Amino acid sequence: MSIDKHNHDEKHHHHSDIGDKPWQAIRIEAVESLLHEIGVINSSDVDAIVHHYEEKVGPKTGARVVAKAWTDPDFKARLLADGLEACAELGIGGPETERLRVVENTDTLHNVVVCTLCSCYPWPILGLPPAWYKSSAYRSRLVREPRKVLEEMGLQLTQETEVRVWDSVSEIRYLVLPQRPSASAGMSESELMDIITRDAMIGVARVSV
Amino acid sequence: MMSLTSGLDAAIAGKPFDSITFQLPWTARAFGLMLAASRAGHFSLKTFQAGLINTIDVSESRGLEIRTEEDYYTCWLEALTNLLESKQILTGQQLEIAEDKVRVRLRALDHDHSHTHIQGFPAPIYMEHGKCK
Repeated sequence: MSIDKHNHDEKHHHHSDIGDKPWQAIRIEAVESLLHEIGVINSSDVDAIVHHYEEKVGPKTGARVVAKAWTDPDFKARLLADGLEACAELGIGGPETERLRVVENTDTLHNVVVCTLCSCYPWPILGLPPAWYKSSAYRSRLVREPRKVLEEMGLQLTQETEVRVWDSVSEIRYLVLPQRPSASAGMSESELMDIITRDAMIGVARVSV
Repeated sequence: MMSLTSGLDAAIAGKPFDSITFQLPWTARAFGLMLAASRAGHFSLKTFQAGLINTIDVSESRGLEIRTEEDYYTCWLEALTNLLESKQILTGQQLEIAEDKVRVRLRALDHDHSHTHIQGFPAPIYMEHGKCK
């Protein structure tokens, strides 16, 4: 018997017959209780993972990396050579990213990241991806018309600017090293961290002061 | 052409550090459960990801665009259960029984709750009627 008893077309926005509890919530609770019972997982491990991703990692982790690269040229060189190894110097990393390639934005080059097939993302550095990153629209359109999509998201690029779209896959994840705004000269590393956004590290925004 | 609008505008409005947490509790469990099972060595992340890609592809080829976290994690959940079945970690029948148990438990909770629930506002504990002059 197939596990999937629901009609696929009904899957989106379908509720169970128990109050407002969606059928997905019932199913995941059932899967968890089964896996816990047969010793495949321990529910406390699930709690710990969820807590880690909700509380411990997020875009601020990536902002730390970028701020360090902006203020330490030697670190920046190491980061561009081997993203994961440089992040490890700051105690950042995890088993969910095998390889991290850091791509640098310049006056004439703009990098932006997508996962065309699903939602590959450097979890240990940026946390979990935003909803739009996983959407069909972003995934299918960015690769075809990046300038237009970026414009819709509020980022206008000149025609002279070269745009590179990086397709994140399970083996290689990408982090954009945004350009440091000239107005940020004199800011400390922690002040810089406050202006660096998740969107800039994906490449759909610039950093501004 | 697919649009970035319809529900996504709010997500892309300049909030630098949003979307860190899960919007729906069940999506957090689905995420954590997959990672816990993978870390325990029952399958690799790459294997799960291949299943997720396939599920998303099937969904999108049927015209079901991913627009929300719910859409995305529904594919995630389907990929996870299919993988657990193909690895013979659990069967559809076991899952069906487990789902029934969850429903029974939830209905019991619902029932208990309805007995203790205060209907409307509680009456005041003291009342003094006004007097006409």
